Amino acid sequence: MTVDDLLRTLAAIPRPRLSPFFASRATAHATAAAPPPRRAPRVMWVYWLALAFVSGPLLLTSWIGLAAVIGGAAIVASIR
Amino acid sequence: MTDEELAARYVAARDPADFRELVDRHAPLVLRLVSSILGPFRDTDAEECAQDVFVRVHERLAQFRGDSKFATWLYRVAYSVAVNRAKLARFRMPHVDVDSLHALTSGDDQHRDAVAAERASMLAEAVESLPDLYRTVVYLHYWQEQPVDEIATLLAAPANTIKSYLFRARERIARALAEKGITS
Repeated sequence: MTVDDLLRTLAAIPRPRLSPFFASRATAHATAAAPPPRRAPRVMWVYWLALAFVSGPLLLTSWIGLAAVIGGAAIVASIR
Repeated sequence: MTDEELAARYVAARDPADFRELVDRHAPLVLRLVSSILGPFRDTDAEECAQDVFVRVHERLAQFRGDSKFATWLYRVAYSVAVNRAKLARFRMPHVDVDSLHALTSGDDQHRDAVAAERASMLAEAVESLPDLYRTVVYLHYWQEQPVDEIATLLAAPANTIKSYLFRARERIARALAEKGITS
C-alpha cells in the first residue's frame, strides 16, 4: 500500500456540512458587531502630536495644567 | 453582480441582504478550507470558525480596496482565522480524534481491523506532524477531495506549488511511517 493509497482512506471520514441557517446566522452575527472605530486622518494625528509636544511641558508645570490633563484623560476613557 | 461590486454596494448602503449574498456564495468553500486547517471530527468548531471568518470579513470590508479578487482576500482572512483557532485548540486537545478514525474500520475481520486501525492511527499522527500548510493541503486534497486547481485558488498559490507541497507532504509521511515499520 503506497502513501497515496493510505491517504485516500481519509476520504471515508465524514465532511462537515453547513447548517441550513448558516448564512442568516453569520450575517446576523457579523452585522450586529460594533462598527470599527473611525480613525482620524494622518494630518490630524501630526497636529495632535505637535500640540501635545508644545502644550505638554506648559501644562505639566502647573497644578491646573496637570488637573486638566488628568481630567481630559478621564473623559476620553469614559467615552471609550 | 460580481463579488467586488456586491462588497462595494454593501459598504455604501449596508443592506444585510448584500452581505448575506456574499456569505451564501463563499460559505461552502470557506468551510472546506477552515475544516482542512482544523482537521477532521471538528464539525462544530469548523462551522463556528467559518462564522468567525465572516464576522472578521465584515469588520474589514471597508479596507478591501480591490487589489486582489474578493474571493482571494476572503480566503486569506479565512486561513488566518482558522490557523489561529487551530493553534489555540491544540493546547486543549489533540488535533485528530484517533478513536474516531478507528471507528471507520468495517468490523468484520478483527485482525484486519486491528491492522487497519493501527495504520489509521499512525497515518493520523504522521499527518498531524506536518507543518500547517502541508497538512492543510493534504486534508483539502485527500479528505475534502479538492482538485489541485481548487486548492490553488483557496490558498492563492500556483498549482505547481500545491503539487510540490503534496509531494513533500507524502515524502514526510512516508518517512514517518517507515520509522514506525509501515513501508509502501
